[in-house]
Amino acid sequence: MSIVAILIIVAVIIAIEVPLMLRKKLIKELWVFSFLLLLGTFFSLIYVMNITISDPLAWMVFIYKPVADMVNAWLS
Amino acid sequence: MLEKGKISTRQLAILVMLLTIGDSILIIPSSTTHYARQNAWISTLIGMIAGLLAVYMYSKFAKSYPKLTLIQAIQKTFGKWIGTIISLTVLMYFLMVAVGSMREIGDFVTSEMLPGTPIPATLILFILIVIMASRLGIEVIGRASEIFIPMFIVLFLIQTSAIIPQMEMVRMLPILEDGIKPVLRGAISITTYTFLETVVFLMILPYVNQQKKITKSFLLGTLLGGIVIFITLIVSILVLGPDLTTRDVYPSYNIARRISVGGFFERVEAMIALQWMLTLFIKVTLYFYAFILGLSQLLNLKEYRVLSLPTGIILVALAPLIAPNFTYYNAIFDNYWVYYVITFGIFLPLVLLSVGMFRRALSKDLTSRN
Repeated sequence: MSIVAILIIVAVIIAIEVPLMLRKKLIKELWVFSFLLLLGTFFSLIYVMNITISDPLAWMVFIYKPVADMVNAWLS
Repeated sequence: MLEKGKISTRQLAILVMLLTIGDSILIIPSSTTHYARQNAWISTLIGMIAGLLAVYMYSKFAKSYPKLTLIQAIQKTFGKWIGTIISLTVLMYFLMVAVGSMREIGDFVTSEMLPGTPIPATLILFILIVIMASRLGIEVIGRASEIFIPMFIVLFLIQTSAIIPQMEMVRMLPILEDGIKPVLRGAISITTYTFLETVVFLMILPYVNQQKKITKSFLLGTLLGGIVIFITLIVSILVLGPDLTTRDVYPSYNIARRISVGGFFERVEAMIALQWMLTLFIKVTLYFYAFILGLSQLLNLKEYRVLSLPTGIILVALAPLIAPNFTYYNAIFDNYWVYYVITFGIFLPLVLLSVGMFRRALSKDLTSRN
């Protein structure tokens, strides 16, 4: 049900934007638009199909853990 | 030029003020009080000084790269390849801040105001307005902020003066009983959440009509926003005390719940929810706008408005995905997010600024030798 809703929303967005872009011959814009739309659809499908990502912000923890540990040790 | 609109310096000051207040009015009291206890107001003062210095640096940045947005300045300084990589990380930062703010809206509305409503319903309604605002351009966003500001100030003053009878000075004591270190740790949170997120204005400063007055109105906006945050924090401590402020998820909302004047002026918490919605709208809109404008400038597109709808879908889908629950989200934001903001809010502009100054000194040296 929610998958159908997402596909309808994506179709509406395509119907709104794509004819206008083709008429103005904005081909590069169309590529970026399609890429972002695919990304958005992908994330939405992950969300409605209840696929859990265990640790989505792990990259941030990985990068900033040394700094965070250092500051916490110094300021406590 | 992708964006032909212009904003006045007064609109710039108002936008800076609303963005500074942004989501920090929602989460800052519990986050800072967690570290600094009843001395959180000292943290706010330290944070305000650091924030004003950072904002001064941003306006210096605007002077040394006139008419260039942050993305264009990065391209110019670092060249094509390295510039593209750095620009992409900056754009991702803009997107992450927007996603984080959306997440906070979703959490707040479902937990406090409309329990049972699915989160995407709230987010879709919110993002539609954001998309509309960013398609209309920076000029309309600036004018909208001018309409919002009197409403915000009146509501804030009413609510602050109505809670005065419940304040107790004794909750502020003892002052600095554990030394300055916890206060400094609290100041890091408040500086990053509140003041460093104004880095997004580096994308907007080229569209201000009086370039010479940027520094003054930028500093003024930051100062006014900082004062609002300071008052919010000191009210939280004086009314709830440090313990309740730390344990509460939304302290300022809880304070508004306690307002009761003469037994009939009650249940005004919708007022503070309205203030949050206004300031968060400005914040999400500016970050959203900076993302689509920056992406179009990076890829040399002729039109940035067509990117708004797909980016909207990404935001709505990522906001619930970014963290499985509120506790995880808060832990990450308290410990690691602050350094993420510092990377892009202090480190990157400082590097760009020093490279720009070095180049200018070099060229001046060469011309004087010839």
